[in-house]
Amino acid sequence: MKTVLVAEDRDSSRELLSIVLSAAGYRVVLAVDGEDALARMKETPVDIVILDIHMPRLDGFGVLRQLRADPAYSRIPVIALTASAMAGDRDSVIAAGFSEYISKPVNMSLLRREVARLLENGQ
Amino acid sequence: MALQPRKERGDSKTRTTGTEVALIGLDVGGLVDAWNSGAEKLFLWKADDVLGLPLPFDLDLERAVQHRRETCAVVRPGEGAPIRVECRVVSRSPSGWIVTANEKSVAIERQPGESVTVEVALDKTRVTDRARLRDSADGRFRDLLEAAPDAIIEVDRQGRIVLLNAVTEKLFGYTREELLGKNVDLLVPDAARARHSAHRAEYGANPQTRPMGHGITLLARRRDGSEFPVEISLSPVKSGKSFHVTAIIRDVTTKRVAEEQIRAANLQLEQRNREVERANRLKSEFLASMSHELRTPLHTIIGFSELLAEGVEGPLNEKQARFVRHVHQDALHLLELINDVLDLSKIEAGRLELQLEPFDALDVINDALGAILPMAESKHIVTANRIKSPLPIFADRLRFREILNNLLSNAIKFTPENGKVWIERESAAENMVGFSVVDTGIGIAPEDQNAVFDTFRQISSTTRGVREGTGLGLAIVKRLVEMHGGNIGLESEKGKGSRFSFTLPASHSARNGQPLVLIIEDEPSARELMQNYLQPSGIRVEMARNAREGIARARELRPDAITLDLLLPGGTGWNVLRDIRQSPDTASIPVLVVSVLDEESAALEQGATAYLRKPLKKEALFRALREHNPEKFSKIGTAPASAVRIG
Repeated sequence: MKTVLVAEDRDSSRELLSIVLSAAGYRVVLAVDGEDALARMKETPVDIVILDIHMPRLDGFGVLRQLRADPAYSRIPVIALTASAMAGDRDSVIAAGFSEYISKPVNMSLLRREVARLLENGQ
Repeated sequence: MALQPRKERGDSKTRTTGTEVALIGLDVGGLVDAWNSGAEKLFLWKADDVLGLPLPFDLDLERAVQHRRETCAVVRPGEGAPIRVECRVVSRSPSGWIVTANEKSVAIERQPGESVTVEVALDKTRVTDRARLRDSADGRFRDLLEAAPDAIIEVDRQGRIVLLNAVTEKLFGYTREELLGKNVDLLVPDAARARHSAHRAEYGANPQTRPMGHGITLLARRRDGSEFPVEISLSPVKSGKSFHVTAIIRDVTTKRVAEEQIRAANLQLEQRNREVERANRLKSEFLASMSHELRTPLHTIIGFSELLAEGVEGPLNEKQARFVRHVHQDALHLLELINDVLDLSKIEAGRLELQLEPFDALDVINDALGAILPMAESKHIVTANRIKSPLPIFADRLRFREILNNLLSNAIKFTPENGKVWIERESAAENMVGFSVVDTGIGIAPEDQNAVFDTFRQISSTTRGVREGTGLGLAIVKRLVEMHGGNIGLESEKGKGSRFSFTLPASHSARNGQPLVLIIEDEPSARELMQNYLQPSGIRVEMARNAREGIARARELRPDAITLDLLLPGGTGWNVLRDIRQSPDTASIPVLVVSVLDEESAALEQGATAYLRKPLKKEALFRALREHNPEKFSKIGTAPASAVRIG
């Protein structure tokens, strides 16, 4: 069973993502912000990371930078979630090194598809 | 040194043909009307060069009158050393100096020990004749000259003033007598004098009529040394062997003041514009962050209602399922609304950038029809694409899809069950492709047709029983079409259906070897003029009517040359120029700026290849094309059109 780490500061959104991914057959590890996400990953090995961009303490970009700098996680797939929708957002997110970009409100079937695709590519 | 006053008193004829005596005849206007061979030898000027002109040197006749037989001038003849002239004058007429033949005495000492006598003579009869002639034949010309509101000065080949009107006296503060015979450079500020002489020489070499209002303002100098701005028109006047130039000089001080005021007002406007732009940007940023805040909770509302509807946590009864469906659908509608508001605000804030590329419209039309199929089938509406052949357009693919999505879902929304919705080709202007989205729906009353493209306008009577849209879809479509340089229109009949027709730029990937010029110009008459210059010479012409279109067309067409107007709607020509130079696809294309503005150096600095001033002459345009892209345009304008026309 693959493990997905979801870092999201909003309780409702975190629970929603957790249910959707669990129902899709993944083990889900939850984190409430960026620092928390890095701490969880030290405890539990994960296969894919879903990061909300806007989080307190350490945002999605910050987490990504640290992951890419860490040999253990430099190639792990990381999906960015964001509610902002200005032109160029997607480009800047992909340019920063994220594997995929999904805008909120999240289309759940799209999320499931992307997670499956990235895990498969990662094999 | 001995002066030898001539004792001999001959008649006029003897004197004019004599060799020892330099004889100069002046008429009342002070112009030379006799110059014998003696004068030619002494002063080194040929008769042809001086006849009809003022004396080429100063003779202070006033002094001569007062002191009789006194050295009254040092003159520098044609090419020789300065000589001292002694002259004696005995009488004057009201209109000028008269030195009679009999009582003159002008002695010239050419070198120490050598002296020559010169007679400065004026025949009274000739004077009278001339004066009478002037009074009659030239009378009307004089009146005209004096009635003119501008200063008028005529100068000879050496730049000496030979004619002037009263306005000149008033404008420059000199009297007529002070100016006649003086070099016109006297009226030019010291700093500009050398340049002015050079200009005069240039003009003499290539005399052409130069009209006023060329945008060139020069400074002129009054007698008291003060300077003022003038505009000058020049025309060459040739009569026989003499070459004169007439200058009309207009004091533009008040015009300058008005222009300054306009400039100040423009600055203010610019300032206000910047403030508006800033406010607009803030508004757009506000909307972006608002949209972010709104989408965040919507994300979970939509997500959880979806989970409930899917029965992930157990089955719902029929009523619960219906409630959840309502929540879910309205949440989706809210999202649609937020997206449309964001889109619209981006367009209006100028933040939406089109990614223009050439592509086949047919593919996108088929995709859009495929995506709308479930919605159509649920109402048993038949959809069709009546365009069968590839249709290359130059547009933003995603935005084209958005236009189609909006028009198609609109059509399906307002078409009752078992109706039809289809897309077909529409006629369009040259270089454009037209599309129509047609339905057999409820139609729109004529009085409501103008309002359909407004934001948040829905025709209340027609929306009854129809799932509401955001009211923004058509407003967005209209703006997207217009951003592409196209336009959109509506034909509709109540109860019969509607037809939304729009145009987008066609793509021209195929070239046929003809040189291509892109004309970026908003003024239709100016476009037509250039088109008429170029097309008969076998040059293909494409047009862009605003800055955005100009940039897009330049990238699409990669023409062999571009003509660019600086004053354009939707941005300035400067932006276009910068963009063309910065984009690798277009950086090397010659850009000929064609403008009424006086911005040549700025334009060249910004990367313009040449600067042509309006009104544009055909030959100037052709010369610039030949010079800057000889490979493509070397033959134009030098051979009959048929010889270079290809295909």
